[in-house]
Amino acid sequence: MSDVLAFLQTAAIPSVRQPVIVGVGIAYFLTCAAIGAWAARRTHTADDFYVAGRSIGLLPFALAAMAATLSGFAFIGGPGLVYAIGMTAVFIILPASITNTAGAWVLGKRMRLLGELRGLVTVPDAIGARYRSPAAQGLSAAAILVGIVGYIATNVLALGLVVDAIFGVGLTQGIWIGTAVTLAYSATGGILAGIYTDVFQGLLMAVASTIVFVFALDSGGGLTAISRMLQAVDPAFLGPWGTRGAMVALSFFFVFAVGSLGQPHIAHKYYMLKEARRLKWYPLLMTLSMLLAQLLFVSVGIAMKAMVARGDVAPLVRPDDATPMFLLGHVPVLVAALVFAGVAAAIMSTVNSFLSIGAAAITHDLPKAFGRASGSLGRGRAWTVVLSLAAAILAQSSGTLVAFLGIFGYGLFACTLVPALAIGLNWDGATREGAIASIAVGLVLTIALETAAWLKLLTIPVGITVSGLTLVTSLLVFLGVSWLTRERAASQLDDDVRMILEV
Amino acid sequence: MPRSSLLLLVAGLLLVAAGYVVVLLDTAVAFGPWGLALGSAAVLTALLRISARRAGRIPRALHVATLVVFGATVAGFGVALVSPPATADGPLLLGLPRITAILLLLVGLVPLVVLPVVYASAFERDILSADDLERVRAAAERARDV
Repeated sequence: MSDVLAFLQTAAIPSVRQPVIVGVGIAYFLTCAAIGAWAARRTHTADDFYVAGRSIGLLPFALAAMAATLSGFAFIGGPGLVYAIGMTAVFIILPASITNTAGAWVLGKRMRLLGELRGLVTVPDAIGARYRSPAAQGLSAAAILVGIVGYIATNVLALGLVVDAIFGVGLTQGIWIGTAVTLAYSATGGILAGIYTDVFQGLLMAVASTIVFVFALDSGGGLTAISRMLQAVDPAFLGPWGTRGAMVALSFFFVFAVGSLGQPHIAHKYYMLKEARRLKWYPLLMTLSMLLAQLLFVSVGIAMKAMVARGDVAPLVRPDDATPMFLLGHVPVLVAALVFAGVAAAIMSTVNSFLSIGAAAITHDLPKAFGRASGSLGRGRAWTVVLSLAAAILAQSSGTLVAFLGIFGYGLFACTLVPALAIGLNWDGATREGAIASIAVGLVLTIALETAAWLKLLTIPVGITVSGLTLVTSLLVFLGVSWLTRERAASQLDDDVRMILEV
Repeated sequence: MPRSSLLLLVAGLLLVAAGYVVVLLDTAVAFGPWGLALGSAAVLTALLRISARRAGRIPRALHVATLVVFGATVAGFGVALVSPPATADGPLLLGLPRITAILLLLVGLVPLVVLPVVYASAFERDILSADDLERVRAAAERARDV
């Protein structure tokens, strides 16, 4: 998914070190640590550690899902991409109009009920139960682990860059400070700490984004003035497909719309909802919170482009400077401080979610796939520490390597999990063979094509992404193999799982 | 899964695949965006319809909602694909270039409003009733006893 390279925050962010920003940054980190300490006292079992004891109310659930969905890309890389390619970049977030509800509609109800019925704690658990297949569970856990390594390292590197920009401590120190704070609450309080820090972080992101949106429109002289200015200098920029054209825009739409149903850090959260029938209001809350949190994504890049076109601001050296430069020059310093804390919040909430599902894959899913008992709470905590330290070491070793590993994540999750999970949980004709084939094909194709593209052995035409190709291929393999083995479908479904599919 | 939803899913995936293939082969490239536009809308709609099925049929409210979303998405993409390229003095709508605004209203605003509202309003009757939940809990209780 070479286009996603532009999404990865691997280059330095301009320094924003000012007393107010440093003060808010310290207050933010202390608040996260305090929430972690509170949650640690309430984490007694592996169930608490991985699914928050299935005790999360609707509002924290929706805010946590929103915070985990948005990484630092929504605040830095995304606005930079809008600045660079205009409306084309908006097609990354446009599918949210459907996926905010589709998540609950396609996955939420059945995952939540299956979790309650079978006491499931991970996404591979659901796949294993659906197909009565330890092999499918183990293979999906392996795919998640492959994706997670790079994803966490990429986010830890981005966190290091943000900490460095706020505190001026250097990248290495930034990586370790960010890792230490995230680890402190992730390892002690597990997903429970993650959920409640997510609530705090999600509120911060929504408030900061909304305030910046108002300032962005105002600084550009209003939306009409911004549009007129940009039309004059580059009509395609705000045209329906942006400067990269319809094929790139629609590729983004397909991958981010369908792929959203295979993101394990979001799907995993459905197990945690206290009461299944509260799902009723989840899409409305998710839609509202995502709408607010994504205002900054669109507005800052467009406003900065208009200000550059008008001559108010010098052209940016790098697109990713759009948010820092806008904040430092056009909003009160307290608002800027909130946004920078919000960036750290977005990254940390994503890292926490991935640490949790990574530790669960190692201590729970893989042992179950080999017929062994699931690991204890202590092993879960220990693997959270190991994964976190490994990611921090990887993050400071090579930006190029981290970027390469990071591009795997989203697409790999999409092509390995969407068929078996999103379709399999809703279609009684799906078979174990179809699930295993689609996961294996998705895993192998993603690694092979991304590696070939990275080594320049393969040239992907503009408008096509490896993620799009692998996603459509794995879906067709799933449907094709399930059809070929359709006579086995009924015998592979346990009665209780069939009941969930029919609810 | 109702046969029509399965066919819609397969057709959508084949359209997306065909869109990619024509661009990869550098032939009939103009079909590429159409393949992705129609295919993406079809795949998303099919996934919603497959998941909405209860007792072998799709409840009316959810059926209508998926049709509205499919229609709005195809119309939004279609209008943008058949429109001439944006110009420096093109008309604005709601502060944005007109075609861009129409695309955002149809592909963004319509599903953004319709889906969560229909989901909430149909929840008790068509998605998860108290009886459904009771059956699942009874099954879980029996499993624990065993």
